Amino acid sequence: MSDFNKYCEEAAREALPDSEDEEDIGDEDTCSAQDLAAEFQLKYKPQDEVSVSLQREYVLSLAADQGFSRMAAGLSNSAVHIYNLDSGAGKLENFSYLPPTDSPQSVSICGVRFLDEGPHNILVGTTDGYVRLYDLRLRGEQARFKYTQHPNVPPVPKSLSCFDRNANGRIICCGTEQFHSNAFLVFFDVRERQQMGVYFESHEDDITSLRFHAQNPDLLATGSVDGLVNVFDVKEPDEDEALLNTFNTESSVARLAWHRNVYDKDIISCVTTTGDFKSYECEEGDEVASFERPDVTAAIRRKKAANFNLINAHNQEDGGVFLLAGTNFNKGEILRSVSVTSKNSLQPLANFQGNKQIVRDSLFDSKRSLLFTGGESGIVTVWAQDASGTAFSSEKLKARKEKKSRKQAPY
Amino acid sequence: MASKVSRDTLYEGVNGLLEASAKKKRGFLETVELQIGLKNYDPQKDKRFSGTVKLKHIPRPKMKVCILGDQQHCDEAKANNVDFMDAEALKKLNKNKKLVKKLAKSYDAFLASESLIKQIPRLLGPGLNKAGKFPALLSHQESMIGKIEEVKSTIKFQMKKVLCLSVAVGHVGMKSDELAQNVNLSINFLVSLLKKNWQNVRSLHVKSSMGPPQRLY
Repeated sequence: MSDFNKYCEEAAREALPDSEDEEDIGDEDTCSAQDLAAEFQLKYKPQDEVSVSLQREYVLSLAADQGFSRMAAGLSNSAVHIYNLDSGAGKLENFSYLPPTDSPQSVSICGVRFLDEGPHNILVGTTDGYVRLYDLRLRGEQARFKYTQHPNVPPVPKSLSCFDRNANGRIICCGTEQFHSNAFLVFFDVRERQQMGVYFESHEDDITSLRFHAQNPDLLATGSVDGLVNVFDVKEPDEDEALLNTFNTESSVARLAWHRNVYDKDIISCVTTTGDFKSYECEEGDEVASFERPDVTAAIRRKKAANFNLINAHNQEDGGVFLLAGTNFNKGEILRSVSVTSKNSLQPLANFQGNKQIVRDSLFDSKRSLLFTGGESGIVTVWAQDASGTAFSSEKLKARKEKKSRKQAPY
Repeated sequence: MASKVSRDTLYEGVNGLLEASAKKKRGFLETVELQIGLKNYDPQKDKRFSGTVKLKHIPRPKMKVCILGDQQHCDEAKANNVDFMDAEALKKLNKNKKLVKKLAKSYDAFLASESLIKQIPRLLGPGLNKAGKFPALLSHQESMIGKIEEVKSTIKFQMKKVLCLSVAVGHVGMKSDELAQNVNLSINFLVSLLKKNWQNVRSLHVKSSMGPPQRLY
């Protein structure tokens, strides 16, 4: 029995939300407001906010063209809102709207991407298995990519979990969930409007994230629930040859990103579903940095790891990397970033004041230091550094105006 | 106690389970599962979660681990009576899919030295990836036996499209204290992954392979 008491004491020490008050999960900063202000040197304020939907839809995916002149927000009902961005003022202006997929099953978005550098061609992936290409200057969809079963390949599931296009916009790769114990990477040729083939030997479980290298059109990183990050050279015709490297995170991958270190080497970073951050040197496979959930929680100066939410990793203009993190506490009002300064140290960077939602996707415009977030309250926020008293009042948050479906498309 | 499951309920559930299993002996060692029902959760929109947690007591004692080691690790493995292979042995498999598959099948997990782990895709192709058995890193700083214990005691949670999940947390050969400890650790970890923590938990059960479920929450 003494053993058991010992274990109960241990359990009591575990930092978990208090069970007594279900309504309010207590959590707080680990330092005073003054210290917090001193440590997080940069202050960001919402420059503009738009609410995408009056229904309870989440913003799950954000994309912008290379110059950040246009932005797309994909919702959990598979609709996409497109905004023009006046980056000087940091304002979003309604531009277009792609209606949700009409389907008896509920269909969600699995990603939005601009096809190339320009702001006109956009790819929209939905969980029912389609990636659609739209030209925002024209009416209707331009192309639709869907896998058709090949006799020599085991059955591929209909649904998609993620997709990306490569650097030159010629190839689309889609990741699927596990199906009959296979998880697939499906490739399409954008110009030929054809499927090219599949990989299905490198992951065991649902593919969760898929990122082509930003410059090299042949380099692809994929991440899965099985905890592996695979790097492929898609030039190679054969999957065995294409697989360059595998990193085992010993967890489950939620999100991948490419970075570059000071020696101009490619780095792949990954956020795991348990809120850990890991990064690897792409060629050699050395682990560059590794932070566990409690580490990052401490770095954003919050008490409870159980509420903590690691959102994304972004590149800064000077090549540094910062982590964007929030908490689930009080609808996610805490949003902060920390920069990764070395293998095992994190420095407080910025505090985002006035956040209204649990953030699900984010983009960073390193040239203008603008951060874009979308999340579970269906709001897209443009964050800018707080220069002086341009106070933003929440009254400005207007409900979405009447849909202007493609009305503004020129000619 | 910071958990919604009181010590008494937990103990009661675990003891009930062990008694039931002792009454009716089966021809194999029954596994103990923790089953979790969720609520206020939309698997379409809300984050699906999965992750690994290390338990205090080894839930799967029979797990076989193989070391893919450099010279030093191979020697250590030999001394500790652990199965091992070196780079030469791996090269002999010659990326042969059948042989790699056979290798993957004959062990439950692999550990590899740093120099070797980088060569695995080159030497073996994606065979181990496919089997879900890509090795974990074994560095020279940590003890081999310790790492093997760690691999054996780590379990994986995964929520798919449905609002329930289950995970093996032990077996009926374990003492009730050990089992209770494992169950509690698993519950705590799982709850910490949920957006609204306990507000997302509908029910918790423990169950042995053949026994009746015991409700905890």
